[in-house]
Amino acid sequence: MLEFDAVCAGYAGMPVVRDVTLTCMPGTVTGIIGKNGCGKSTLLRTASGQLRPLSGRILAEGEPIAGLSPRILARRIALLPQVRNVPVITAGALVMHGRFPYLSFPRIPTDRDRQIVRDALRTMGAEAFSDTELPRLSGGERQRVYLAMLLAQQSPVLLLDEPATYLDLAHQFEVLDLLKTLRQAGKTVVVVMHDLAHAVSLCDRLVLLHEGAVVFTGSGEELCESGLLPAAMGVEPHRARDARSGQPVYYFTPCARGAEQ
Amino acid sequence: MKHCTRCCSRKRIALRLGILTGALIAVCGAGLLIGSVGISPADLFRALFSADRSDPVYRILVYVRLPRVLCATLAGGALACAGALLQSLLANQLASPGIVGVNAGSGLFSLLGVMLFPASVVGASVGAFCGALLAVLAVFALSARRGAARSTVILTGVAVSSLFTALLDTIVVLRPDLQLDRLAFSIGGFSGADMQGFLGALPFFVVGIVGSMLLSYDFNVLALGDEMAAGVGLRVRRLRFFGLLLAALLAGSAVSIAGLLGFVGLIAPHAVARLIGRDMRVLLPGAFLFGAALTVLCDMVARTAFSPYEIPVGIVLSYIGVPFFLVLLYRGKSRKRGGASDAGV
Repeated sequence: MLEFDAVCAGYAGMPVVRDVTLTCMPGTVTGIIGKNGCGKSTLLRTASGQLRPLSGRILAEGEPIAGLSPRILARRIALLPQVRNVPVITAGALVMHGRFPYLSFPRIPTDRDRQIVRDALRTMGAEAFSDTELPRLSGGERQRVYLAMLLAQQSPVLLLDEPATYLDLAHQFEVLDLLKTLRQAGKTVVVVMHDLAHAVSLCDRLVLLHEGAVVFTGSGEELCESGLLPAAMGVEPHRARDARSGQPVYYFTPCARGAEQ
Repeated sequence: MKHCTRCCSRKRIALRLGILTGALIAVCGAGLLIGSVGISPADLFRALFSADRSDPVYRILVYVRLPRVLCATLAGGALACAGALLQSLLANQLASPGIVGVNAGSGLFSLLGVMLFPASVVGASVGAFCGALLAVLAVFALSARRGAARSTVILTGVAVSSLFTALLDTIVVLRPDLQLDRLAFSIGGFSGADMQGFLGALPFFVVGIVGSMLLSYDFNVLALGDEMAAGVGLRVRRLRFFGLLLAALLAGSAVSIAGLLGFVGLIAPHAVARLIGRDMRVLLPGAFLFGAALTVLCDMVARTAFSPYEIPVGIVLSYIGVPFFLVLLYRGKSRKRGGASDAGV
């Protein structure tokens, strides 16, 4: 479980997000959405402990993260940032880095660590390329490996910043399926997303940020029916019905100029 | 087909490290035997195991060739390891000891050592070592104010280097008689190598190597990028500080006995990474072996090619090292699709 308790966060004393109070439950996916620059990534960085909140506190599994050492914090919360290096190492070696919070000097992994890494690669469908160097993998394959690394970290809370960015549509769907796998594994998943249609179809709960403040919390359907999207994101939701499943689906079109005001 | 390309397997890495070790032993042996006075292997063993200390072969070996080979091994190996460390810490393939102020700092302080303690034989080398350390500490202290991000460290290094170089030039303008000392230091070499210098630099070298090896896995994790490395519990800033300090110890120990041989620190890590990969746990020992072997070899060529004249080893390093490096670079490129191994960032 991840809790935000009246969190204000920003840079150089200037708040970017204000007064966020939110509880994310295990076995759910919480999507953070909003326009560029509304504070989504700042909120995620604050939740990961890499940015100290200006006020308020973050609790992971009921315990404030402020006093935790980096390694203990990494056992509670795992972060997949949007911008990452692509080191020239094998996929298996990368996933093993997820065990870093558990490796004391001289950092020699145990059989248990190796087993956890194998299991994580298998769960994410990445065991076939565990011996392949990362730069040789496709974007989608690489994303699987990074998610396997997060899984190997065995943190109950997972924070992901735009995990489907730069991927083609098929790989985006693949990543959404992987996030569902993480939800089924009982993780508390918090994900920043740009694609509203994906966010509505995937997330159990959506948090809409507008100018640094939470203006809506609820399901995707509730958000689309709330009438907030034109003002907060400049798009108009439209309801349709999936011909195969009969379930309601939403698609979005840009607002006419001036309508979002 | 795509997934069958395995990266360097353990056996292949072990074999290549073995070959590098063999190469180092071979060039060190050749370095002891070859020179203006040729020594046969039989003479070498006879001199080493005889009790006759006045034997000229024994004296050449112990007082001239051995210190020189040991100094070249230490300096080349230390610079190569310092380069590998800096390239990893700053995620910059162009990083070498010079980029964090080591060259400028050691140049300035070695000159100050000569100027302030003209009678001292170790003034220049102690000054060079202190200058390397001071420069790196200054770079880190200044860049730490901005969070010690990689680009900040590099830019601060450039600024500190420029300042130290300006100070150095000012001293040379005011005291033109020091120009020769400056030149000797900048070109670098082992003509003045002795056991005293080697033993003085050895403890710093050992601390640098042992510390780097202990932290080698952490350096691998840092290659994930600052944010992600911090996400798995790495203390990024602290590691970067200790890494820079270890690089300064290594580079300082090298410049104190050899002057500036910057080229080794740049190419040895790249060459070795193409042979055995970028895992710091094997790259550091590999860089040491390669850098040491290359430097001993070049020093041997430097003192024998135009014997009895000696050409500066830095020049030979470029003549031998650059073609070898280019061959490795382009062979590696053509083998790896689209230069995928360059995707460091």
